[in-house]
Amino acid sequence: MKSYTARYSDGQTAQSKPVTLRFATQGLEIAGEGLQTLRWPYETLAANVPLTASTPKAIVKQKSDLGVTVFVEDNAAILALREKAPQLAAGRWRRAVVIPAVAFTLLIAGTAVGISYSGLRPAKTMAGFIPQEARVSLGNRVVKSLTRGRPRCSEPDGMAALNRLMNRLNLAAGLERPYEVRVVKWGLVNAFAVPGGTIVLTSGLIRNARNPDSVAGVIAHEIGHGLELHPEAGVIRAFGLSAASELFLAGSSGTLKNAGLILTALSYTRQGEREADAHAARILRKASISTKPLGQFFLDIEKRYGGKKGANRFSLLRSHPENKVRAALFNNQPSYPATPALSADEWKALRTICGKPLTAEQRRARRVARHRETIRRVTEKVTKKTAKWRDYRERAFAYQAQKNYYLALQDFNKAIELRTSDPNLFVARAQLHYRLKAYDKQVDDLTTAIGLKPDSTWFRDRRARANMRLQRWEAALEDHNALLKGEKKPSWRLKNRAETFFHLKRYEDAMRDLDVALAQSKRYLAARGWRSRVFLAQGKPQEALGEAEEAIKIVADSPIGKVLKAQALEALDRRDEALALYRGVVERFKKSRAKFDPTLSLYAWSIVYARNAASAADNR
Amino acid sequence: MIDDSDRKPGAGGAGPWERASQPPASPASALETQSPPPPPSTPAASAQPAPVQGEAAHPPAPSQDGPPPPRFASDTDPVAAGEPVALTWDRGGTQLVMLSLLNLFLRIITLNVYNFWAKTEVRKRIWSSVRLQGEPLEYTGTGKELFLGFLIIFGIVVLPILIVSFVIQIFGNPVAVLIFNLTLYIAVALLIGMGIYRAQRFRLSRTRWRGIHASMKPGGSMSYGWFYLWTAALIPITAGWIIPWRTTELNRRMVNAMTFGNRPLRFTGDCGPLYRRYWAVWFGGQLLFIGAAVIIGLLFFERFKASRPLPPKLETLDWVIVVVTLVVAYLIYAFISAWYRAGIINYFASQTRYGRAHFAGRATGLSLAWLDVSNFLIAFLSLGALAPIAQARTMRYYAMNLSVVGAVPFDRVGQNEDTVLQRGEGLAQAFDIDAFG
Repeated sequence: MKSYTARYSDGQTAQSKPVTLRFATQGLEIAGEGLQTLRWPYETLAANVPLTASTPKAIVKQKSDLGVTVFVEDNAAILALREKAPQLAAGRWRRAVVIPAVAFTLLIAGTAVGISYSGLRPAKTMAGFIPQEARVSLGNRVVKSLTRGRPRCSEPDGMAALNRLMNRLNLAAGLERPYEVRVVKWGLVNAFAVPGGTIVLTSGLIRNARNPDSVAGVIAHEIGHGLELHPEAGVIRAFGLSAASELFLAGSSGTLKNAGLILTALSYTRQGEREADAHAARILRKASISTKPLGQFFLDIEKRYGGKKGANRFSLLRSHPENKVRAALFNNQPSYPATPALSADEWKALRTICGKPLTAEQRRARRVARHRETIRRVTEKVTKKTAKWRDYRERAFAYQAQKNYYLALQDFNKAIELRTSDPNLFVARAQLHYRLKAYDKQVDDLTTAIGLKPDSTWFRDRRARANMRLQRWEAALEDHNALLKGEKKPSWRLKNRAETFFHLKRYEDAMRDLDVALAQSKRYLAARGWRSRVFLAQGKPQEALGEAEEAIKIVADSPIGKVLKAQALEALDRRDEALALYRGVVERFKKSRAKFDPTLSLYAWSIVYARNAASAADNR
Repeated sequence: MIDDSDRKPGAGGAGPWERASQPPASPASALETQSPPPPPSTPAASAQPAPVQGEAAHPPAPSQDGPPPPRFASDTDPVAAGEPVALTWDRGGTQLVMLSLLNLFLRIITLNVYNFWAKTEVRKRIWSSVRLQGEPLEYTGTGKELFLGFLIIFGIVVLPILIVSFVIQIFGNPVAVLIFNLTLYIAVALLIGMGIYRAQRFRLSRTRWRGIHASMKPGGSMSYGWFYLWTAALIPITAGWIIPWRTTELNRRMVNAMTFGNRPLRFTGDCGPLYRRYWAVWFGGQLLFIGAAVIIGLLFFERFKASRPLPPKLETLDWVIVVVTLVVAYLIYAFISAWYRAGIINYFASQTRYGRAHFAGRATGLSLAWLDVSNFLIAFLSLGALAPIAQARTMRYYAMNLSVVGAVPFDRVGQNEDTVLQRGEGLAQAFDIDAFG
C-alpha cells in the first residue's frame, strides 16, 4: 500500500512532527515516531479547503475537530483522499449549498409568479390593515410633497360647485367616508388619489376638460383607485421592495429616505387601471352622469400627449398606452338617462376655482406695468453703477416692448459689451435690427451668433431669411444648403431653398426641392404655388396653370391659387379672365394690409400682385 | 491613556507565558535563560500570526525607518528559547480566477445567497497560502455562520431601522424625524466601529495554525465602537491632526485583545513616529490641491484672455493638460499616502510583540501604492468579479513584507480555551465596510 509523508499536530501545542499516511480499508492511518497509530474512518474526515483535482496541499482533520491536524502536501495523496472520502470534494461541498439555494430562488420566483396569477394581492391585503388615521396622515404628506409650492385653489363659487359634484359622486359610490378633492394650481393635466380618501386634481386638467362630465369621470376613476386601496398598496409595495433590496444586495442599497419612493408607488399597474375604470363606469352610471365624455377625454389626451415621452410619471397618462381601448370602454357603455354633472353656471365656477383668468386688456396692462417697473429698477441700478449685463438685457427687452427701439439698442450694445460671448444676446439685437429695418446689421449679428454657436439651426434659419430679405440670394443659399445637409429635410426648408433657387433663376434645382417637399406633404399649398411660378418663369404657362388649379383645389379661398392662375392666363393671352380673377382677389382681401416685400409669404405677395395688376389695368 | 495601555499588556504579558500548558521545570526563567537560536536575518521570510487583518492601519508591520525595536533578551542571548519564525507566501495553488468566475455564476443563480459560501471558499484558499514554518494557516469559518450572522443583523438592525424610519417618515412630525435621523446617524457610526472590531475578532477566531486557534478576548467591541465614534467626530474639528493618534489607539485596542493560542499579542507603540510622516500627507495634500488649482486656473485664464470676446476655446491639448495635472496630482497624493501607510505598517509591526518576538516590516510607499492602484484596477475592470484576486494580493503583500524577529517557543504555545464567538460578520457586512468583502 502506498504511503505518504505528512506533518502531524496534536492540537495541544503549536508543534508538528513527521508522520506517514496510509489509505487503509478501514480508514486513514497516521503513524509516526512516539505516536500511537491513529486510524480515522474516511467518513469522519474533514479538510481545510474543499478539494479539487488540482489542490496541491490540504490539512486533514476529523469532523469532530479538536485541533488534531495532519498537513499533507502531495497532490497524489489529495487525489486518493478525494476518492476515499468523497465528502471532501469541492463539487460536493458546493452542491450542498447551491441545490437548496437554487430551490429557494425557484421558490421565491414561483411564489411571485403564483401570487400574480392567483389574483392574491399581498400588498393590498396588508394595506387593509393600515388604520384610517394613518392613511390620512400619509395622504397629507404625499399631497404636501407632491404639490410643494403650488397653491390650493378655493374660490368660494368653484368650491360650492365642486362640493355639489362630490356629494353626487360620493353618494353614487356608496361611501361611508366621503372622498375629498383638492384642486391645486398646476398647469399639468393630472389627477391622482393619495391614501386616506383624498384626490388631487390639477387646474390644468380642469382647463383642458371640455365639459364637467369628463372631470366627474376622472374623479370617479380616482375614487376607484382609492376604493381598491391602490395608493396604500403602492406604499406597502415600495417598502417591501426597499426591504427586499436591502436583503438581497446585502445592505448595499440606501434606506428609504424620502417620499420619493412612496410616490413612484402611486403609479399603478394596468390591472389597477382597469379596476379603477370599472369603478368609474359604475359610479357614473349610478350618479346618472354620462361616461362618453370621459372616453372622449382620454382620446383628447391621447391626441395631445400621445407618444410624448417624459410626461409626468404620476399623470393619468402613464401606464396607459391603451388610452384608445379605455376610451372605447367608456364610449360603449349601454346608454342610460344622464344629466350633466354640473349646470352651465357651476361649470363656469369650477373652471375659475383658481381665480378668474385675466382679460386681454388686464394682461396687457399688467405687461405694461411690468415693463415700466423693470425700466425703473434697472435705471436705478445704472445710476448706482451696479447694473450687470442681465439688467441691461432686461431693460432692453422692456424698451423694445415699449417700441423705444433706439434706447433698446443702446442697452443691447451695453449688455454685449459686458458679456461678449453670449450668442443669444446677439440674436436678440439682430431681432431689434430687423425691427429697425437694418437688415445688414441683423445679418452681422446673426453671423456673430452663429460663430459662437455654430450648430444652431435656428440662428442659421434666421440668417437665411434675413439674407433673402436683402436679396443676397447666394448667401441665403449657403445657409439653406447647410440647413439641409442632414438626414432630415423638412418640407418648409426645402420650399425656402426652392424660393432662393427661383430668384437665382436655377429653376431645375428649385423644381427638384419642391418635388421632394410635395412628396412629403401632399397638400402643401406654398409648394404648389412656387411650382406654378417656376413653370411660368420657365415659359411653360400651361403647366403653371395646372399647378395653380391644384393650389386652388387645396385651399379654394386662398389668394395664392387664384393669382397664380391669373398670371398663367395672362401668359396664355386670356387677359380678361385674368383681370376678373385679380379683381376678385382685391375685393375679397381689401382689408389686408399686405405690402410688397420680396420675401414676404406667397400669400402676401399674391394679394399685392393682384392689387398692382388690377390698378395697372384700371390706369390703362 | 497611552501610558496606561502601554503598561497593561506589559504587566500582563508575562502571565500567560508562565501558565504555558507544557511548562518545563520553571517556564518563566526557562524562557529568559534558555538561549535562542540566533535571530533570523532581518529580511527572512516574514511571519504574522494574524494575517487576517484587512485594514492597512492595523496590520502589525516591521519598520525600515521606525525607531529601533527595544532590546530583547533573545536578541542578545546567545541561545534563546524557541525557534526562529519563517512566514512565507505560497505561490500558486490558489487558482482564484476560475473560482471567482464560478462563484459569480453561483451567486447569480441563487439570488446572491451563495455569496457567503463563496466568500468562505475564497478565504479558505487564501489562508492556506500563508505559511508559517512551512505549514499553512487554516480558515475554519463556514458559509452557514456568515449567512446566519447576516440574517441576524438584518433582523435586529437593518429591518427595525427600515421599519422605524418608514413609520416616522409617514407619521412623525419634523422634530421627531430630526431626532430620529440624528440618533440613527450616531447609532450607525457606533455600529461601524463595533462592526470593524467584531469582524476582526470573527476572522481571528476562525484562524488556526497547527490546530492552534488565534482569537480576541471577549468584550471590548462596544468600547472600541465608542472610541471609534468620538474620535471620528474630532477629525474635522482638529483638521485631521488627530488621525495618527486615533489610528494608533485603535490599533492598540485591537492588538492588545489578540491572542494566538494561550499567549497574548502586545502593542507597545505610540503615535509619535506616525506624526513624523503625517505632516507630509497633510501639507502635501494642501500643496497638491493648490498647485493643481493654480495650473488649471492659469491655463483657463490664458485661453480666456486670448479668445476675448469669444468664449475660450479649449483645444484637445488643453484638456490633456487638465487631465494630466489632475491625474499626476492624484498619483503624487496616492504615493504620499501610501508612504505614510507603509510607515504605519512597519512601525506597528515593530511594536507588535508576541512573547519575546516582534514583527518587522519592509513595506515601502512605492510597493504599497502599486498594490493599491493595481488592486483597484483589477476589482474595477472586472466589475468586482475578481475582487478575490485583489484580496489575495493584499494578503500576499503582508506575508511577503512582514517577518518575525526573535524566536517563538512553539512547543509552549498551548490551545486557547476561550469560547468561539458565535456570530458572523453581520455588522460589518450590513454596513459594507468589510475590507475583505
